Amino acid sequence: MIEDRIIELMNGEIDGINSQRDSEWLREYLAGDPEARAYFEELRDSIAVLERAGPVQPPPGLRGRLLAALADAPVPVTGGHRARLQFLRDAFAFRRQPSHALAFGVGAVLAAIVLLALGLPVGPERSEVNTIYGVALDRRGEAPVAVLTAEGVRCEIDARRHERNVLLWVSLASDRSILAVLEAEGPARCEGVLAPEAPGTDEISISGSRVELTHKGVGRYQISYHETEGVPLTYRIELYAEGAVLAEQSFTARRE
Amino acid sequence: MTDMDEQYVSRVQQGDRKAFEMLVARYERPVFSAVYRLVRDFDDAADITQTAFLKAYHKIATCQPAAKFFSWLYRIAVNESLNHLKRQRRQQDFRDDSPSTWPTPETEYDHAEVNQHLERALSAMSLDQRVPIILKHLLFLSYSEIAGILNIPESTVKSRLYTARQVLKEQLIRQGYTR
Repeated sequence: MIEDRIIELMNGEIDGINSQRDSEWLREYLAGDPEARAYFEELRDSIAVLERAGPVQPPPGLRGRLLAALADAPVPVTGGHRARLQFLRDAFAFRRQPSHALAFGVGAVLAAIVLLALGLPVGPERSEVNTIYGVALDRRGEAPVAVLTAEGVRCEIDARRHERNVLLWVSLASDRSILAVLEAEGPARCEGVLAPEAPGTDEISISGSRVELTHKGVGRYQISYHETEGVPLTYRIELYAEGAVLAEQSFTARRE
Repeated sequence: MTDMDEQYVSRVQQGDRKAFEMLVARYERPVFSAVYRLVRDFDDAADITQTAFLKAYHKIATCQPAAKFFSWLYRIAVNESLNHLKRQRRQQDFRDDSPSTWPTPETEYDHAEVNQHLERALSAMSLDQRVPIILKHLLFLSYSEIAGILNIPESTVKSRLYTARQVLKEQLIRQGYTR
């Protein structure tokens, strides 16, 4: 019979929440108790089975169905809308009360001066748009993390990490049909590809951490990853045409 | 909320529908996976996933900046799944060991064998046990996130999870899948 507190420590060990002292104590305890050791190993193995099963691939039509339903849905009225409406109401009220308008104007100018002095962005986002072959890239003034070129083909990638999530912007311009293969070099899973600006896309497939895009023309893809062990990973992209590698490169994501 | 999610949610709250499509792209797969593991029917899981995202879209104004979008979304999806199971129980004599619908697993999924064993093991659990283990080991959520989604204390999450792990272990051993 294994005591409850030992089982709790075993579960804590699996979750990685035990203190170093508890972990060491448990290790020593398990070394001296074959029954508890076997229990712990069985527990760990069964959870590995569960995690190995991984996410279930949704049916291919689900995304399209969902986006179509969204397109028909009315835009939700939010606090932001209400706040903007109130702001507009207040602004128009200034016409009736010029002293308020003057105070508001002086306040806005002072706020802008303070923000500029602090080097903070004035406006919604300090982003910069660059182009390759007519493809827009939101770069925030920074160079892409990877640039691949071959005859008639160019690919630029920006990648940003926040904690375990990585968001990639892959811009492709190609005068022929190419296959772009993107893969995380470590434990990660791709959580989705969006191709709102990729009219030349023929096919997108996702399998675990591997994404394959068949592409012709110009376009941009947004690809999101979740790094399952929390260790920042390297990513690799390869471009193929007619079975031959055109270009390949490894890159890492910037910290958001 | 992650910075990226926060930006998307903020844009949706400003009326940008495209930003919500990005959230769909990020979370469609984990939400569908969790829902499927709960309801064990592929078509129902697709319907529930769609409903959960549409509800999230309509209620986006209530998503607070301090909250994590995925926790909020998972809570909607889990509640939708549980409501679906309750309705199903009322409509028919729902049996927990009813077979799941898994479209052509041998051809479409690499992990068909693992999934079959897992399906049987999850079937042996009560919903109270199944939900935390799915949230913990398929969506990799913390105790506090699971507690927030299920609106129960962390200590209850722990005890249900420990029991669920015990059931999982016993079931997989019984099936001869683990030692």
